[in-house]
Order: sequence, then structure tokens, then C-alpha cells
Amino acid sequence: MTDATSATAELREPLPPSEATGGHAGMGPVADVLLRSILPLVLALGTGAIILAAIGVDPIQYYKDIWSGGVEFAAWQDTAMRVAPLLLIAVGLIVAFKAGIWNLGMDGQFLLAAAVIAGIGPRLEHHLPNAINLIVLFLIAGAVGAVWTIPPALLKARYELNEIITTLMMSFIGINLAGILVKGTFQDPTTTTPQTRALDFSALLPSIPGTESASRRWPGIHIGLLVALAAAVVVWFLISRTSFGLRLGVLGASVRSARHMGLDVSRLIVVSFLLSGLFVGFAAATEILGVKGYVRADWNPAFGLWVVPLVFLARLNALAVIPYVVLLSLASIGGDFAAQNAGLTSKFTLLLVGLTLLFMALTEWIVRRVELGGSYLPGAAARRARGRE
Amino acid sequence: MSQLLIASGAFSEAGLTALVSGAILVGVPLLFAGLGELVSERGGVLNIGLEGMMLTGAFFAVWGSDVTGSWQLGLAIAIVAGGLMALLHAFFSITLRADQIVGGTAINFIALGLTTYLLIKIYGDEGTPTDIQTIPNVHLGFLDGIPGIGSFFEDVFGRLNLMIWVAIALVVVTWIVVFKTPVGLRIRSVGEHPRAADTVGINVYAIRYGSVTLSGMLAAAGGAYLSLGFVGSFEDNMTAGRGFIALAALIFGNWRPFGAAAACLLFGFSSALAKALQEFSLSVSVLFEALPYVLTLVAVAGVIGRSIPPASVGRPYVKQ
Repeated sequence: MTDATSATAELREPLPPSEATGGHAGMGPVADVLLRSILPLVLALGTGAIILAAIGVDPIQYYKDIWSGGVEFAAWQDTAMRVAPLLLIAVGLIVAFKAGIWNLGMDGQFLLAAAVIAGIGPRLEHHLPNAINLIVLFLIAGAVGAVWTIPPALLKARYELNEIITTLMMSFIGINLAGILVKGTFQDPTTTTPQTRALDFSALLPSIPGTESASRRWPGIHIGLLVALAAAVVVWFLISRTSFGLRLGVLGASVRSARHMGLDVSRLIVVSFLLSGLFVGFAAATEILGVKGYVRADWNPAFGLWVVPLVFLARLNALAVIPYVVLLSLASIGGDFAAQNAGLTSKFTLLLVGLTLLFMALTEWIVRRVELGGSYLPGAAARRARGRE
Repeated sequence: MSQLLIASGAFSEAGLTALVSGAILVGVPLLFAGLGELVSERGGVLNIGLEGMMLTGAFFAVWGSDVTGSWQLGLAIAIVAGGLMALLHAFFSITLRADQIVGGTAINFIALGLTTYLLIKIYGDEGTPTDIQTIPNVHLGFLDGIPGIGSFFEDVFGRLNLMIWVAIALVVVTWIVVFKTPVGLRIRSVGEHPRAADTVGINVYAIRYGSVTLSGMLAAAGGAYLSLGFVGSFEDNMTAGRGFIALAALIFGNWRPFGAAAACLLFGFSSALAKALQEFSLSVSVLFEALPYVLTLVAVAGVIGRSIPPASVGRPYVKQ
């Protein structure tokens, strides 16, 4: 059993590549950002262009279409609104990944939180002022997301169980449970389509003042975007400027060091999990209360996995992830239009996301080799070699 | 609960036949993929891209059969395609020592994007052709009309798809290879303690490359059964999370071939039951659908014995 325990302990450690290599030894910070955070994206877009050209689609036109489909007319507002859930999920992942915790259950946490508030929302309408309703629903969504991380959190904190499997399992259970809720308890009685009752338009999140314009056909951007931006700032501050953030970082870098320093590892694990689920729940709240207004049983946007590469590209920095999230929103809103124009499927965008991940791993490997002076020597030998430089 | 079962006809002979057949139909693709994951994890590499590799196999089996006009070649093309996907995962997780979750997730994205793209590009909106040659069923004539036991055996086992028998044989073969042969010992040793294996002259990288590639080929065969063996066509994202259930089945089966096979059948049975119960009670039906995940969660939590993964799974090996 000791072997297995050490294996699961190690499993948490291979996390963020940046932490593993200790930042930018031997390279300027600018070069580091260029190589590790921007190059993978450029390479993925470049390879995407080659693939497009190879199949007879004009890549420049395709990327132009993504831009116009995601920005022109009122589309920029859709893109801006898509930022809200994606950014909140990203922030939630950062809190977990920083502590070396693979919360891969975000899709279940998201969908369950969405189903619960979509079901409860219409029942609260007209009883209380709208602002209070919205706040209550936001908190419920956050709580559902957080509660769904408790089993993996406790299993990891108490028995050192690898959370990759447990969060994945909880995710699928959550998706199934959300299905039961939508088709059963929360089913809209006025339709046979398996879906919840839709919230009144007036009960949705209000728009940011000035973004609505009837003459330009702008529907307005809901304030969920501001919530997401605020969350990013808060988490950035928490992680980079507080002792709590430092403790999370130590835990993420090495469980053994964290124990050695006398940190309450179990408590840190549980808190990091809860915060992660909380933000994922908030993400669901912005999408339901801001955009959708209801949940259909077959709805599963699977935002969670999309966000994983961005979080790594931003090197777990909650502010640095914002431009990536904007880019992904653009790609997901504009990608449909571009794919349609080119006679492709909108899933082509997935190919680009996958390529980004692979190029990230590739550049990471190259950067590491450059840092080690072109040497394959790992560990102690490499440190010795670096010391001599 | 039991009333539900009776109401749904699960206990009648026809119901039982349907349930057992359903369990086999759902369980077999899981079995291929689960055995693949077993080989990969026993070799020390977590293959979370199983889902993508199954999907790749499912598409290329149908495409291959359509293009070549032969199901054997279709199956072979599927297996090669799955192997190539796995090779990509192997390159990233073994040679580049990238995080195995990142590599596997990338495979899943790429496979979904690629197969959907190819489906639309090649076949458009009509879907894959209906006249392709599919993997045949095997008719066991001697089961017909065995006196005294009715037609149960004949109905369930008499006309099973060839791939089902292959899967059953593979369980035994995997067990023999992994636990009774020198190759299996090497695979397990690089998964448990790669440094020790390296010291005694085992080529850790070669063994890991081999086991990951094999896992992709097996997953693709599972996908091929799903598309070319079972439904005879390919649909957008048709594996629908089965790769992850296979992963769960392996864990529930405690990283052992017979354990994984039993888990696959159990999960298949639970899914067949979910289908049978659908029109009687939606929530009970969904509960059975979620059962595999709940059981796996319970299993890893150590309620039913302890499940112990290979010691070095998920850790890249650095040669010194």
C-alpha cells in the first residue's frame, strides 16, 4: 500500500509545468512568456491553417470568418457574454490546479448547478425583489458546485485517493442527476420537451448600463461578466498576495514540503476543492441567469474541458487567463459561423483546441531542453550542469 | 423496485433474453477499451484519450469498409488509426514527458474534431452508407433446439457478433500475456518500478510505447465493434463517453482482466436495465445509468476491498 500511496501522492505533483521547472532559469521573462504562453497558440493556428489549406478551405478567410462571426453586428456581445462562464470556470480551475488538485469534475458541477437553479428560479419569481432572487440563485449555484466536490475532496484529504478518477466519476453522476432533475422534478408541465420552465425575461440578470441599444439591435451584456472579472481579480489577489495563496502554491509544488512546513494539508485540499466548485457553480449561474433562462435535458456545453488548456497557457494566473478566455469565446461564437461558411462542422474548433494542448507540451519540452543547456540530463545532473554555467 | 422489474417484463424469458443480450452489446465495446487501458496502465501510462481512440476506430472502421468493400480491411484500418492516435499519446507522454492528462485530453479533442469533420466532409448530411459490409455474426447451430431449456441459449448466444467472441478470447489472452509471460512481466515491471526495470536491462520506453499503442488499437477495435459490428453506421460522437466508462470498469475490476470483464458486463447489464426501465420510471432508469460511476467511486473509496493501481501510473520515466 505504501507504494500505491506514493504513486497517488506523485500523481498530484506533475502539475503545472511552470512549477516543475521552477520558472525562467536562464531565460528572460519576455522570452518565457513568448515561448510558453504564445508560441503554442500560434503553432496551433498555423497547423490549423495548413490543415484547412490541405482540405481546400482558404485559411485566411476561415480565420477572418471567426473574427467577423464573433465580433461584427451584435456578435461581440455574445462573445462578451460567453466570457463570463468560461472565465469563472477558469478561475475555479486555477484555485484547484494551483494546489496541485486535478478537479476534472467541472462539467458535472456546472450542469448540476445549472439544473438546480433553472428549476428553483421560476418558483422564486415574483415572491421577492428580483435582485434578491438573483443573489439567492447565484449562491445556490455556487453551493451546489461546491457540495459536488466534497466527496472527492474528503477522499483525497483523508485517504489520499487520486482525485482524477473520483472527480471524473462525480462529474458523470452529476450529469445524470441533472438529467433526472430536468426530466422529473423540474420538468416544465406545459411542454413535453424535457426541459425546465423558462425564467421570465425580466427575471434574468440585468444588462451592464450602456450595452443595450434597440437601434443597433444590441441585446445588452449581462452583469455576470462583471462578476466573472471581479472573481478573476479576487483569485489573482488571493493567490499572489496572501498567505493562503502561498500555502496553496506550496501544496501544489510538493505535498511533502507542505506537510514538513506544518501546513494543514487536509484542510487546504478541502478548501481549495470547495472554492473551485463554488466558482464553477457561479459559472453555471451566469449562463442560466444571464443567457439561457432554462435547461434542456440534452444541454451539456462541456465548457470545462475547453478551459483546461487556457489555464495552463496562462500559467495559472487568474488575470493572464482573461485574454485567452476572450479568444476562446471568440472562437466558440465565431467558429460556428466560420465552419458553416466553409462547409465544415463547428467541431473543427475542437481540433484547434486539441492542437494547442499538444503544442503546449511540445514547446514546454523544448524550453526545458534550452534551459538545461541542450542537455537531456534530468534532475540532479541537470541542476549541477546549470550551476556551472 | 421489484414491482418495477416485474412490470418491465425483466423477469419474463423474453425480457431476460433482451437484458442479457443488451448487457453483452453494451459491455463488449467497453471490454475492448478496458483491456486496452489495462495494458497501458500496467505499463505505467494513464490513457485518458481512450474515448478519442474508440471514436477514431468507430469512424475509420466504417470508412475503411466503405472504401475497400471488405469488413476485414475496415477493421484493420480502424485498428491502425487507433494505434496511430495512441502513438501520438505515447510520444507526448513518454518521449516529451508531458502530463498524461493533458495529452489524453488533447487526443479526445482531436478525435472528436477530426471524425466529425471527416463524417461531414465525406458523407455530408446523409450519414454513412447503409450498404457497407459489416462484421458478421457467428451462428452456432448446435445451440438450436437443445431440448429442455427453451430457446434462451439459442437467442442469446446463437448468433453473436464475431467481435463478441474475439473480446471474450482477448480477456483470456490478456490475462495469460500480462501475468504468465516474460513480456507481461516486463510490462508490469515498467508500470510498477521503471527504474528497477531499467537497471535489469528492460527498455522502459520501448515497452511503454508498445503498451500504449496496443491500448489504442484495442480501444479502436471496441469502437469498430460499436459502428461496424453493432449499428453498421457511424454517427457524430457515437462513443458518447464509453471510453470513460471503460476506464471506470478497469478500476472497478482492480486492474485485472477478469475483474475488468466482469465490471464491463455489470455496467452493460446496468445500462440494459436502465433502457428497459425507461418507460416505467425515468428516475430509476437514470439511476441505473449512473450506477457504473457510483460503483467505481465506491470501489476506489475502498469500501469493497482496496483497489490498487500500478505504482508508477501517470509518472513519466526519466532515464538516467
